[in-house]
Amino acid sequence: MELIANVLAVFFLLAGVTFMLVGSIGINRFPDVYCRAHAATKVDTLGIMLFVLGLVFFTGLSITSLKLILVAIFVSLTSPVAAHALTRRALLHGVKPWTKK
Amino acid sequence: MTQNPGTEQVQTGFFKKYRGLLLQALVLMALWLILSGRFYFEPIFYGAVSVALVVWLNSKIRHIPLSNGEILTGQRIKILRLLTYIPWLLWQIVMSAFFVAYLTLHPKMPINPMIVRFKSKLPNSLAKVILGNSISLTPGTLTMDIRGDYFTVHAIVDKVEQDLVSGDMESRVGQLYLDSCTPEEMCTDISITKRGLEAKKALQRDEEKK
Amino acid sequence: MDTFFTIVSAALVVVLLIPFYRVLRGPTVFDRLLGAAAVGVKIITLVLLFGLIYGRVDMFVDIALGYAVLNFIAVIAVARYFTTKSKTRP
Repeated sequence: MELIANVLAVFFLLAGVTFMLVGSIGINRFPDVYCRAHAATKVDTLGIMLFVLGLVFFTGLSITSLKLILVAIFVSLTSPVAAHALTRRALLHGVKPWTKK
Repeated sequence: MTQNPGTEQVQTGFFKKYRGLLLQALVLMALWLILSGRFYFEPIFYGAVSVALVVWLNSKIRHIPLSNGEILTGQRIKILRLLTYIPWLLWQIVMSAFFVAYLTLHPKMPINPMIVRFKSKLPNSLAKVILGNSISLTPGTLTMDIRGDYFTVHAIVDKVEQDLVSGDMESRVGQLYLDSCTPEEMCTDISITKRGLEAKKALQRDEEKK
Repeated sequence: MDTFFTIVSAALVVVLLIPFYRVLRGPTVFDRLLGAAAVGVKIITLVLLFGLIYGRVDMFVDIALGYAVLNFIAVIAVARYFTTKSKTRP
């Protein structure tokens, strides 16, 4: 039973780190600030959720794991708001969106 | 313990009137218990006192109008529908992360960004906030601005733009507050632009109108 | 298991350095802010992982929560700081 939990924990931790790596690559690869905000919001949110799920499998169900889930909920609620604030300011400031030629 | 119908009537009335505050107190108390992690008398007592203080303050704050003149004590959210909405949103987060990861790792990066502007018929500010956050978390779209009834959304490929203006998600959010709403009537007055200058000018027009 | 966590945290540090390129190079100030916020999200996970390595998750998870709140408020505050009327590009 503990072996299964550990295997699941390792799997979810590695999946979370992979998604965060993809999000970081996306922040560098996309052409303008709006597209970069897509990568920073969505991929990183799923990355941290999977990571925290892995940690919960490792620590077992307790008050600490509830706090871990609270961290994931907080990040997934606030990252769209932060991206919204940044892109709104960028649009009002006059940053031109990249368009396909 | 049995209750006569009279007191039960009063109790349901009380419950309906103060449902928002009771739910708030419940959520805050759960947050306190999780954060403190101790389950004996003294921390729970202090927690109850602070929760009562915060709920009292919030009940006063809710009567102050927002910057657009709207007061938040309006329609109440339907909790059963919220409980079915949250798993759908989680599934959308997973989908969108895979979608954007696919776009990122694709060698040619098949993106075609555009700015969509549409008018929605959601009843109050809180529903608009929920819709804005949900748009940001669903595949390929990002809320840039909400001004009045108008949403300005950045869509990253053509396909997600069509999904967005079909109004499916809006009707889901609208069902949290209204009894029935169809996707067709929720999303109107759509305009698509590829240049940021037009979107910015539209925003500034709205600002000057106020 | 400790070795595994150390390896994962080393990988996380490498992942964390990638958005720093955007913070240094970013053509606009918003790109830099976006990169900084992304670094913050990764540092939250790094703090949680350090908690597991030191065996004190219950303490480090509070630090991670505080860091998440600060990260969010910093982005909102700096985004509010820019006015809408400026004509020059940063």
